[in-house]
Amino acid sequence: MSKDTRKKLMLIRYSDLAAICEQFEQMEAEGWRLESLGLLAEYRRCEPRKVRYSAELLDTASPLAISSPEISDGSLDYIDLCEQTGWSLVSHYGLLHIFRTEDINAPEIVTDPVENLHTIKRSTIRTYLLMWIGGVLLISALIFMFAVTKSPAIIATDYNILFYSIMGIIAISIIGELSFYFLFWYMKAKRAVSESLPIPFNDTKAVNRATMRDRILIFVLMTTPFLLFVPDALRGDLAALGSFMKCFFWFAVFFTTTYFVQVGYRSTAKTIIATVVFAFSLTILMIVTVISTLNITLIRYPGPAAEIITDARGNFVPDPYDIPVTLSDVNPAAEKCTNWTHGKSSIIAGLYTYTSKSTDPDMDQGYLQYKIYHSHFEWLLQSYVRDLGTNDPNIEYVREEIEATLWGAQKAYIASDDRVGLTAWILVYDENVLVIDTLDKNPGAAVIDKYAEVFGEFLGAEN
Amino acid sequence: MPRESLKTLSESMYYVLLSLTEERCGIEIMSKVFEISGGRVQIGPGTLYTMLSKFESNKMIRCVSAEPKRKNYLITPYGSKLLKEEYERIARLAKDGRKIVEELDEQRHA
Repeated sequence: MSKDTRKKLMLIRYSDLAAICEQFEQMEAEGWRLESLGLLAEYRRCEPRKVRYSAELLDTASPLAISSPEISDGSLDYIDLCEQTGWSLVSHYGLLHIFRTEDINAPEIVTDPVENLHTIKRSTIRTYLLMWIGGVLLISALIFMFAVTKSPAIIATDYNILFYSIMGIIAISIIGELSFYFLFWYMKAKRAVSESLPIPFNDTKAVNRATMRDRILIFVLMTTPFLLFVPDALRGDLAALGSFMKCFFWFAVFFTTTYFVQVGYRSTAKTIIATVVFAFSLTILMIVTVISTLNITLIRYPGPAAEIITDARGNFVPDPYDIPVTLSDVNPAAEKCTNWTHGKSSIIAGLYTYTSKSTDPDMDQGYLQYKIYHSHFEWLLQSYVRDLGTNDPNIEYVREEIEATLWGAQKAYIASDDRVGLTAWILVYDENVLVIDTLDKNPGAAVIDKYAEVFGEFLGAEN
Repeated sequence: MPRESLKTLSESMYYVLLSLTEERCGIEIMSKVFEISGGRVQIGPGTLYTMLSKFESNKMIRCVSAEPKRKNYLITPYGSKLLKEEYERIARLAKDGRKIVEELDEQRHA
C-alpha cells in the first residue's frame, strides 16, 4: 500500500448512515478523500477540505452488486438527478451509494424522512434476508448433523463437527446481533418519524461501539477453529495438523476471494485460479514454516507390537496392525484374526473403536469389539455411557450395574441384548470409558480380565 | 410505512404535481416547487426520484422526452384529476376550518 492511500475496514449497518458520512467528511477534512467503498473503505491523500457526503440506498441496485463498478440501469436516473444538484457518486457497494458535494448548501438528497425510513427498512430486509437464508441453511445443516449423530459425546470427538458447529453458532449470532440492532433502532426511528422528528441515526460513538462488537465477533469467528486445532497440531498430532491446515486453506481461499472481489478482478477464471494458487501456496508455506520453526516431530504412530500408543492428549491411538487385544487372545479357537480400527479425537474428547474378527469364514468364532472413549469432562463421559446403544435401532440393551472394583473401574455395567446374543461391558474410569462388545461365543469374564490387564494403567484403574 | 396508494397526497407530492402541469425535468421540478411554495418546500433529488417513479407507475405523470441525463415529465389527465381532487379536499379543509379559526382569533384579540 502506498503512502498516498489508506484502507479502513468498514462494517456498514444501514442504521448508521449519518455517522458513516460524518466519518468520510472528517477524513476529507484531514486530507483523505474517499476513493472506493467495499468491506474496506479506500482513501486517497488530498487537500484537506470541508465537503459533505450522503449515503443513500437505491432499491434499483442489487444487494449482491459488490464488485462491479458499473451502475445498474435503474439507478442511472437517480444518480443523474443527484449530479444535477451538485451531488456526484463516489462509490457504491450493493444497495449503498455514496455521494459527495463541495457545495455546503446543496439540498439533502432525501428530504422525506418517512420515505427514507421506508427505504432503509426495505433495503435492510433485502440484505438481511440473504444472510438469514444462509443462516437457516446453516441451522438446518447443524440440526441434521446433530440429529444424525444424536449424542453430544460423539459430536465432541469430531474436529470437523466441532469446527462447523462453532462457526455456525458464531455466524448465526452475528446475523442475530445485526438484526436485533437494526430492529431496536428501527422502532426508535419509526417513533421519531411519526412525531415529525428527523430520523435518529446512531451517532459515531454508538457506531464505534457496534463496530468494535462486530470486530470481536469476527475475531472470535476467525480464531476459534484455529484454537481447536493448534494445541494438538503443535504437539505433532498429524490428524490435528491436517485439520488445522485444511481450516487454514479454506480461510485463505475465503480471504483471497474476498480480496479479488473487492479489487474488482473482472475475470472469473482469473479470480478462481489466483485464489486457489494463492491459498495453496500460503498453506504449503504455513506448513513448512510451522514444522521447521517449531521443530515439530510428526507422530505417525508406527508403534511396536503390543505397545499401546497414545496421542498428545492421552487418547488411545488406533493402529490397525498392532491391536493390543484381539479375538484370538480371548478365544483361542479363533486362531488368526483380521483386525481394524477407526476413531476420531478432538481437543475435547476422543473415541476409538477396535474390531477383531476371525479370518476363518467357515467357522463362526464370534466377534470382538472394544471402544475407548476419553474426555476430561465428566458430563461427556456420563453422556457417552447414557447414550450407548440408543442410536442403533437394531440393539435394545438391558443394562445392569455390576461390581466395578474387580477391574479397578469406578463403575461398571453389563448391557445385553438376548435377541442378537450381544453383550457389552461398560467400565467407567476417571477419564475413560471402556466398552467391550462381544458375541456370546466369547468367554465374557476372561475378556474383561484380559482388557483390565492390558489397559488398566492407561485407563486409570484404581488398585 | 408507505402512504396508502396515493389516496392522499403529501405536501411534497402535491407541489410536484402542481409543477408538472407544464413539461419539466428533475432539476426544473425542484426549482419550481421551491418557487411556488415560496421557498418553504425543498425536495431533494432522491426524494423526487422516488416520487416520480411512484407517480409514473401509477400513471399520474408520463415521461414526454428522454435525453441523456435529462428526462422531462408531464402530468396525465388522471394525475390532473387527482390533483384537482386533492386541491378541492384541501380547500374544503380550509373552508371548514376558517370560521372556527377566525372565532379563535377574535377570542384571542378580545
